Amino acid sequence: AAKNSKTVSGTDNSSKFDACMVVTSKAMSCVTEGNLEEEFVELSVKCKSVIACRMQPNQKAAIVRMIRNSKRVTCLGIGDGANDEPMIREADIGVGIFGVEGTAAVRASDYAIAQFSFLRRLLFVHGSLSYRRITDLISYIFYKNALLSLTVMWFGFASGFSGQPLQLEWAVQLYNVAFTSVPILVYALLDRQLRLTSLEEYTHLYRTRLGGELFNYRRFSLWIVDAFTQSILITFIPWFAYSNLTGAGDDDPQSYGHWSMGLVIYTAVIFSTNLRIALVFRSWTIIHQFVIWGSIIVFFIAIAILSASTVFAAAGGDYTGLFVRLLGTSRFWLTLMITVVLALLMDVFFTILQQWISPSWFDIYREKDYIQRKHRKIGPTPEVELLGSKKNRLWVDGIPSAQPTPLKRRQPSMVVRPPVLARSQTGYGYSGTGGNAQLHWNVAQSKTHLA
Amino acid sequence: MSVNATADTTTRPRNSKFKQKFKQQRLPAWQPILTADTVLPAFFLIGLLFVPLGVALLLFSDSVVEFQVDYTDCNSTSDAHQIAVGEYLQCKDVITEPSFVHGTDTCMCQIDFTIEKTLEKNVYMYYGLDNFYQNHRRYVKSRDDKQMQGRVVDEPPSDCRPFDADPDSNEIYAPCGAVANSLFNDTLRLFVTDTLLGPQRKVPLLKNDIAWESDKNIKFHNPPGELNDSPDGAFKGTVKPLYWTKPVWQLDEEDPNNNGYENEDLIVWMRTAAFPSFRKLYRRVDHSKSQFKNSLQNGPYMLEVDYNYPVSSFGGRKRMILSTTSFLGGKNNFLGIAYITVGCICFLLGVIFLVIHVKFGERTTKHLNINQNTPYSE
Repeated sequence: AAKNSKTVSGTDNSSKFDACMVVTSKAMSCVTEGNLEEEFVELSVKCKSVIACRMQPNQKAAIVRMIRNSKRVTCLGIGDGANDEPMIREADIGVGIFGVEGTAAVRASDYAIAQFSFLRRLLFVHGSLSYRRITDLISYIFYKNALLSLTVMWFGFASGFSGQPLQLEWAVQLYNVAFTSVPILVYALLDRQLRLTSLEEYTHLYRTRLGGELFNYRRFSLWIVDAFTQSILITFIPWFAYSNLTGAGDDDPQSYGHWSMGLVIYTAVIFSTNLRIALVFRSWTIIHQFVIWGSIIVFFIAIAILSASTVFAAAGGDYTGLFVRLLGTSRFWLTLMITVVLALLMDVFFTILQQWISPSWFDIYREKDYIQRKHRKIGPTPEVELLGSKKNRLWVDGIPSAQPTPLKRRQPSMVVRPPVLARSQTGYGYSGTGGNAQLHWNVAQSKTHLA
Repeated sequence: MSVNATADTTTRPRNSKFKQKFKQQRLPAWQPILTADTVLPAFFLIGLLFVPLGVALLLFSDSVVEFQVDYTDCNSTSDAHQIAVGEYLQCKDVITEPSFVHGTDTCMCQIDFTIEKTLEKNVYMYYGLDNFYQNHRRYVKSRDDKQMQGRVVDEPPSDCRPFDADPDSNEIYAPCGAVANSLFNDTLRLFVTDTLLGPQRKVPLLKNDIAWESDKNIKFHNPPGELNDSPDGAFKGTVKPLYWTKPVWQLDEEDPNNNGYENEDLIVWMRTAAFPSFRKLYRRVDHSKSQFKNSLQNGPYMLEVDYNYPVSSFGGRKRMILSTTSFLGGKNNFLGIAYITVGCICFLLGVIFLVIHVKFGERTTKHLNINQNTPYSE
């Protein structure tokens, strides 16, 4: 979508002057005193890169402030010295480097890294992963609580809207603690959409994340609509399966009651929420498997404990004897199966449809990785060259293009740069060949360093 | 000088490999790729499994024979309630008259009906109520399980209000609460009228084993002592609930195991129903007698009701239901229909995916050519 192309600088690379602007401290003070901030910002975003040197700390901060105010973009400031501290604090995201100059920058920063080159991993790997994970964490937690509450609301049609809860209080309190909490935690910690090495390689995928690709009103409301429709199915299918029934068990004539009904619905909710997050998982480690099935098993264990005695009874509700009574009947399992299948059917259908018809760039690269690993082949592209690596790594020459080119990775077997571009003590270590190194962020440095 | 983002493990105490991988987020993972050869068979398989299953469930439900008699508006048989020759008042009007004294006055109905289909062993009798919200929050709350477990209660429990204690004498109701107070107190009797099947006789009914075992063993116990309200009895200092006609220790004087809080009709009633229209197990047909050894034969029957329970004030209905059971319990067609429907939907979705796969199938081979320089199409 067009909104995905909103870059930090706000303009397309193709409309930039093929120039680099160098600003000294004196020029900067002219700008600030002469109220030329707007013009300065306009000019600087049109240049391919801007180098500001010999800046005072407050001037560094001023630059960041100017860009932020004019362009309404998210700014990242990175530095390693005490004189970078104001800039780091001013920026939306402050990255401090543990440097030879002490930890002043680190203390003021949001993220601290050990070397400048780690910025690449910070953004493209951890940033990309975290965005997706946090989005789904927030949306899922709203979803699962909405689902639980809505089932009780729908059941109000049967209970005269008196607010009668469907589940035992103990069982409900354990919902967010034990039954559905761990899978989403594991997701937020461990799930990765693409292999970490691939995330670092395909840095252009990061652009698709900008502009609220994942966390926007539309996607969030889809989660809530999901909760809404699922709650209807989860309430009414067991309702109709159990209404006007004499006996509910296997050749068992005895009457069931309100708490049996509530437990059927509750079990369906637990299964649905846990399997729903399983649909979002894109990398199944052993831990993922464990938590999904483990949560469900913990649920059944908890119900067994709650059913064992009357200790947990409260406000007219108790589960005494319910575990055996309900879980030993085929009607329960059949109702559960049809409810969960129907509730998730829509999600499964749309997930598959989306993956097949309009996959995101991450999905495409995931499949590409999968196919390549499966066939141990490299894509037949002339630009690709395998350079002395035992592993199946892709190296891409820096070919000038409209896309931001990824910067070369370091390998001991490769001579990366001519001596004049040696990595300085400040950790400003980007290098490139043929003048293709491109800086896309305004960075202030404490030492002069000419490319 | 290699740049190595991972921790150097040779100089530190060795972390287990799993822990190392966990911290670096490099745990081996299976990446789910939704290829056609997993999706299509899954949908078709579900479709093919669910439809026959649904058909089987429908057959099970059909095998249950159920027969209902609504007796809400039945007419009294007593001459005292006669208004004209052959015309009698309805019992529901009789019991709501101010002169009717519950407990001493009675209203009895007799309803003739025909069972069209033989009910094979085992046959059970239920009573059904309509428009009775046993699942209302205030109602469900209004009970005291501790009292019914047999503990001696000194203070009237607050949940039971206003059915906690007698307002004049301050004696606690036993059992307290709205649930117990509204105990169903009609008596239903069944008679065979076709003398060809045997002389007119009462259908033998059993009143035990109708409540959940766990309820009877764990939740409901009489307090220690003789089952009376004498000063050293189990129910001393208590009084019968407001709407009851006799105290709890007279619920079944023939069988001490079925008396007091352990009365199975009371236990069945205390398990509050899920829906406003519900059925509760009342009696089991005793199949040990020769005439009813295998079944309840089809033919004419007569239901005799000691009509006590007033439902007309809230528009309720009362029914007597005779039913057999099956592998799935009582009669309910919904599961069978649901399975058939979902099976068909899954099959349909499988077909849709097949069509999509055929139309969009070359997608994956196209992807091998994608690299950094493939222009964005979005």
